[in-house]
Amino acid sequence: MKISTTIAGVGLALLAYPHFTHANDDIKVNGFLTIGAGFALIDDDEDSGANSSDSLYGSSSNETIRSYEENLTFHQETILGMQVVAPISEKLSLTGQLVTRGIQDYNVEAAWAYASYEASENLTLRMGRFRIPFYLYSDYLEVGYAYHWVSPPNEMYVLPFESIDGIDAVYNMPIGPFDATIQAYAGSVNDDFTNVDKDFSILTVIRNQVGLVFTVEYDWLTLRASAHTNNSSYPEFGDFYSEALEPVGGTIDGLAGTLIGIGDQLDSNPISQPLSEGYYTAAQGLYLNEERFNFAELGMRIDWNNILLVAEASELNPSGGPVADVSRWFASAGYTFNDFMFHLTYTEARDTQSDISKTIYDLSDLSQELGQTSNLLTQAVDGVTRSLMTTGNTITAGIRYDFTAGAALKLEYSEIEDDQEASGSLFRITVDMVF
Amino acid sequence: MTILLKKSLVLTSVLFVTLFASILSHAEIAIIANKSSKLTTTKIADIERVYLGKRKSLTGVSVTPLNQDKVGEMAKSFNKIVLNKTSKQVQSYWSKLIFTGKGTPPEEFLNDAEVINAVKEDPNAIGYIDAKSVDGSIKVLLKF
Repeated sequence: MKISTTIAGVGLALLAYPHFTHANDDIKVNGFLTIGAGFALIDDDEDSGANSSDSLYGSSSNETIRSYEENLTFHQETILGMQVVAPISEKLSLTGQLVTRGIQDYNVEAAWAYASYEASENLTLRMGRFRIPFYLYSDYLEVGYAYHWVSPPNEMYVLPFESIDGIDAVYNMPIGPFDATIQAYAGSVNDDFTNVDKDFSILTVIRNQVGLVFTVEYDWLTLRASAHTNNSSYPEFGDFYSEALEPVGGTIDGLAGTLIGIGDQLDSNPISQPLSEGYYTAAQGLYLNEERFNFAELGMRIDWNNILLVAEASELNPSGGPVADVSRWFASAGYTFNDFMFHLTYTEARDTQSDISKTIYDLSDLSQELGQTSNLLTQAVDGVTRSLMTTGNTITAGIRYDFTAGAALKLEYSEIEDDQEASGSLFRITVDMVF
Repeated sequence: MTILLKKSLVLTSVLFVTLFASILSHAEIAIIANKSSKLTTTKIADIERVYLGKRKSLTGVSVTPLNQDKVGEMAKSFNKIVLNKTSKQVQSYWSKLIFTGKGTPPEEFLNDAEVINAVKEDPNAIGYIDAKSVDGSIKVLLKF
């Protein structure tokens, strides 16, 4: 953020000197606005993941789906964004975008703030704060007007840190009727990771993130592949508190402390000493401390006449820690008739739970009491890793109505099956505008 | 009675034919450039790329594309024939690029006369106008 603030400051200072700007290239201001409302109907049955004793989020997960309650609320989709692009010279421009979101209590944040330099006709370099190009729709995730859903599939668009501070290069290569683009970027960021599915927020520290995006466009077909890697840390994860963890101290620190305590106990006796290592390992595995995360994505989009087909798949592989191997995909089909678009989408989450509890060896051979303790600890750790994964699917049907230029009305119904959190239905309506 | 019927029949058929003809055909569009431009001709495929922001030059010559009012007939015809998109699709396309800072749509002018004036003033400008509006002050690169 420091770098971007400096650039923004320099840019503003330059703007104060009129001879730096061309008469033809005025400052351009654009904006987007989404106003939305929605409510959920939450399944009450015993199979619902939210009712299982493993759930870490207690009462809150029984009452919300993707942060929607059974009452009508208006803040979850509401977003206002304003963007200013100021040309400094023929090749250099400054872009700043401020965004305020209902779901983040309308805090105003600088989503983008970067300097852009056209090194050549085909190569653009950027430095500052920009959106991380994880997915097909990453670039315009908040501009509801740009896509047909109320929001791109929630299970898919799950990586929470959207913007990064760094540098990137975008190189365009027209090859006959094909348009190929390569984007390479590097950066780091500290961000409050908001997981909408599970309704919590946690500080995430990303360092040394690099990624490569390759896109090919041919008339109605777009293909995309990207790969990214970084070091991630959750420095405040130890403080995370849940009622479900009360038996072991209430917080992640408490759970880790209890594991270490048992480890020490086992260590003090030469017979049980070999078992202690697993307890220390499990305690360490609860924390995310500079773990390497690898992420890969494949996407396809067909926009042919009145038919739209989009599909995307992604994999997130952490090298350790409590976060699951995240595997998601979706397919969406839409048909446009006059100003109406009808669409159907299927999304699936097939995460693999982190297996850090496997080194908590069963101690019932040593004593009944210790056996109960090792069981309790295994359950507690599994509860933590279970809270950081999702398996389930969503079917969404919706209509988009372009009632006037620059504005669209959307109605959407989703049937959500979630094995870890609440399942049920979601109804949403939004109006999306660009100006 | 018979005469009235005949007249109304003729009138209706004339109206019908004119309507039909106007649906089938479109006003001839001319792509124009500044007289001093090094360009002499161009292709629809290249114009499409320039107007979608995918290229900023034609045969090595830097160009600045100019649009007409997006709700007007000229823009509608141009979008349909050259870009193969409806006006709504064009706006959707640009909304994806604007907010990533990856491009800005061409500046809009109200009518043929304004486009001609703008092209006259900028040696890099290119625009599209009704072929009937072409005069000697600008150069024509393509007609379709």
